[in-house]
Amino acid sequence: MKRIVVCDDELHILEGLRHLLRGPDRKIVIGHSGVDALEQVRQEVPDLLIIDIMMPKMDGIQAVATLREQEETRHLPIIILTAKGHARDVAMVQEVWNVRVMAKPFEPAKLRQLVAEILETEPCTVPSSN
Amino acid sequence: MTQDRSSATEREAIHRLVELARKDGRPDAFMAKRNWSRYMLGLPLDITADCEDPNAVWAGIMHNVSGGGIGFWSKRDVKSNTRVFVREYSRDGGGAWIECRVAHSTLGLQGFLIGARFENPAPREQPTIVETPVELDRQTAQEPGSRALLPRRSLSTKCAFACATTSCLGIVFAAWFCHTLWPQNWLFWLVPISTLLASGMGAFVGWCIVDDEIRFLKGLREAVCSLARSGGSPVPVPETPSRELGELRQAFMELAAQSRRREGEQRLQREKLEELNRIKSNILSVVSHDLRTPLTSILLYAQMLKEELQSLAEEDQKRFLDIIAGECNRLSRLVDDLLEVQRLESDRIQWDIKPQDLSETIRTGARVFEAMAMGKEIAFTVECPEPLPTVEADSEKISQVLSNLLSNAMKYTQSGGEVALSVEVRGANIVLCVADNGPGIPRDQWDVIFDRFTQLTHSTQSRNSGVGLGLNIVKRIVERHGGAVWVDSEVGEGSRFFVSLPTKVKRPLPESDPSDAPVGRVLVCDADPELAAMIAQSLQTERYEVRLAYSGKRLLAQAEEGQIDVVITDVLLPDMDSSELLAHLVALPHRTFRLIVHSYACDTRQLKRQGVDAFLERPTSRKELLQAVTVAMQKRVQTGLTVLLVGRQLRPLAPALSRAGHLPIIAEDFETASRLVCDYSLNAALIAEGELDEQWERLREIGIRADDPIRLMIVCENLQKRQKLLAEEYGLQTVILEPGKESVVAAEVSRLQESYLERMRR
Repeated sequence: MKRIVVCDDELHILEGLRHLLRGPDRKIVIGHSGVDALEQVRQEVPDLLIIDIMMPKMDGIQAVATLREQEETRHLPIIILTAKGHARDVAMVQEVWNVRVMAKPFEPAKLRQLVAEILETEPCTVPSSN
Repeated sequence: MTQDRSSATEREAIHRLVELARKDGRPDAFMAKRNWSRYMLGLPLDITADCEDPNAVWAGIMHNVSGGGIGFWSKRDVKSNTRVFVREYSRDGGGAWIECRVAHSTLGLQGFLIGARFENPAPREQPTIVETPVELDRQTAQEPGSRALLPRRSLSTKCAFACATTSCLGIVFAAWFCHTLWPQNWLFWLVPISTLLASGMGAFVGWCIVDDEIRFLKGLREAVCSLARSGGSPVPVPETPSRELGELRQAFMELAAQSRRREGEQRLQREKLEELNRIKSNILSVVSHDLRTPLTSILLYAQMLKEELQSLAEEDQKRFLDIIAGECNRLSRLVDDLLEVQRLESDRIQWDIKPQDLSETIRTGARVFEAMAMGKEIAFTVECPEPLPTVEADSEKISQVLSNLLSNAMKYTQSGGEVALSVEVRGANIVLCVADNGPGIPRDQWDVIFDRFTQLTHSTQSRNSGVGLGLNIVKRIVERHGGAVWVDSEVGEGSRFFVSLPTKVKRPLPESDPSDAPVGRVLVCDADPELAAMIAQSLQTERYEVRLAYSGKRLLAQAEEGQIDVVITDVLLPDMDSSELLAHLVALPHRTFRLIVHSYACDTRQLKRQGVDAFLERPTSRKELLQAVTVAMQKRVQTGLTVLLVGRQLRPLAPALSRAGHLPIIAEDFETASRLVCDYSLNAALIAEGELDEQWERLREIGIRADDPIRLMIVCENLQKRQKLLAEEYGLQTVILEPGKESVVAAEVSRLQESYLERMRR
């Protein structure tokens, strides 16, 4: 069973992601803030963390920085979703922390593809329309 | 001469003026445009040309020098008398430097210099033309024709020479006289010896006489140099006994004060531009973020619907479509709000402001929400006395205010909660209050929620409030009515939003023009949100831009962001004690603001020691508040002392003092004066003699009560014995003021400033 933690403060996006990424051998855990993300990861290190940047209490950048400082999560695969279109910030983040960055609004199929690549499973757990 | 210029100076000059030069266009345009008049004599030019071929530019220069390009020579038709010396050096792969010198034989002009620097490959930018400062003045240029004896010698040498010569001539003349009267007198032989002695003594005396002047000139030169290096601290110019040099000194002091003031103003201007730029990029990034978020949801659900049309349950399909519709609504609301804010900001809205009773508007506005309250099972009460006092208002906008506040309250109140709208008359205001028992807003965010975009940039504290632009629109509308809006809230218990509208507008509302910059930016901090809002309201009617904070933490955060001119703060804040707050505020890096404390009676000496510029005791009148802010604003650009003028007759002194860079504050009587001395951080007080007679004890009080012992000066028309005695007794300085000689007093104050500076340096 692959464990994925998804964190975003937008309820709709969270629900949508849960629906999009669901699969038979996947367990999706959600969180609403950077603090939630850290808490979930602390309980059990997941196989993948998908996290938004702008969130209340603690933003995604802080959360990722904290995770990267800890030994057990240094190589945890992370996808950052961001509506902040600062190309420079994003490039820096990618470089420094070895994370994948996806700009909002993203192409759902691409995200699914990326997640599948990271988890090294079959990309399509849900039959596509055609 | 110019060839001896070190290349370092050259480079420095180029760097210094490169910014100026960017404005100029092509080199040939520059040549034509410049006024190459006789004043340009000896002006070196440094032309950086965007040209790969040095010869082409060189040809251009030659054309301008020998052809019609130089107005002065061609007009006088003395072209034939002009000789051009050409020098070329440092020609390497990177570029070349060509210089030519022009000499004019009949006019004796020389030292005209043109240089061209070529960068190879050519820079992409506009060609830059740099004009370096004048190096040779007319005097030097005409040196061969100078009529003065001992040219190029120092003043002391010249004086010594003059005295020695005069003494020698005197002795020789006396000897000749003696010789004529008594031809065979043996004393005649003493002549050569005494001549020698006299010339030596004359030289010594001459040198001694001008020693002071020399020292003065040296000091002046240093001061001028320090002035030229912008940002250099002002160097005091030494005193001088002679009248002419004294006048020169005063003129220089005025010039220095003026230039420092101008520098200050320019800095402010620059800061404002930077701030605007920052706001612009902030808006762009936030707007793009806010547009992307709903778009993300829409795209996500639409794609999922498309891909899984067959497999999705019908209720899921419906839910997805609902979400898409909801997000579309959100987008459209956002765009509407953005447009509304933009319209309010640029004041393109037609305001229909007329005197009216708002109770009807309020009732109608509230009725719309009754259905919503019922649907959400919220107890909604409206309490509005009838009739209300007449208010100058635009009823449509007021109902928009109400609707924004009520819809927020409904949104954040859970089922079973309460929302109450009440209206009451408080003094000359009617106050609307919308209370809910939602989650509440922490004190640190009371100011942020009314901002346009900032709440979203403070990402860690924002999204749970999620108020968007609605409250900003409320704030703008209310402020346009000359009113105030504020919030009082307790986390976990609920929030109360207040809107106060004045029933009597003190003056016709200013037709706000978006191009009008605010007079200044004031940051107001008070634990009581209503009081802060009232202060803000007073300042806003005077065209100040006001920001608010309700806790020490927010105050410091906002002050640190910069762009604040004046901070008005209470020192009794819930989260920080007085001395901690002041210590933090004063120690902020790049602090540019002046600090006013607005609180209950406390030790003003202590406050002033902590760096507070003025103290306002509660309750403060509007007039006192505005006076304190005005003084604080002026203090920002002032470079001299803050001077209290006591007595009506000293009013004419104010302009002269301002010109010299000081800040005059006028107190008409001793009553006001002693209050001002207590509350403001002052350096000196000038007292008119007429005010003195009865007030010696008070005067002593002023001197004693002030924290930093301020210097007192008595200004009188002529010094009488009694005044002299009194002045001695109290250790006061007396200045004589003759009508039309205000600048003399200003000079006296400037001298005082120097002694302060001196003390600080030590």
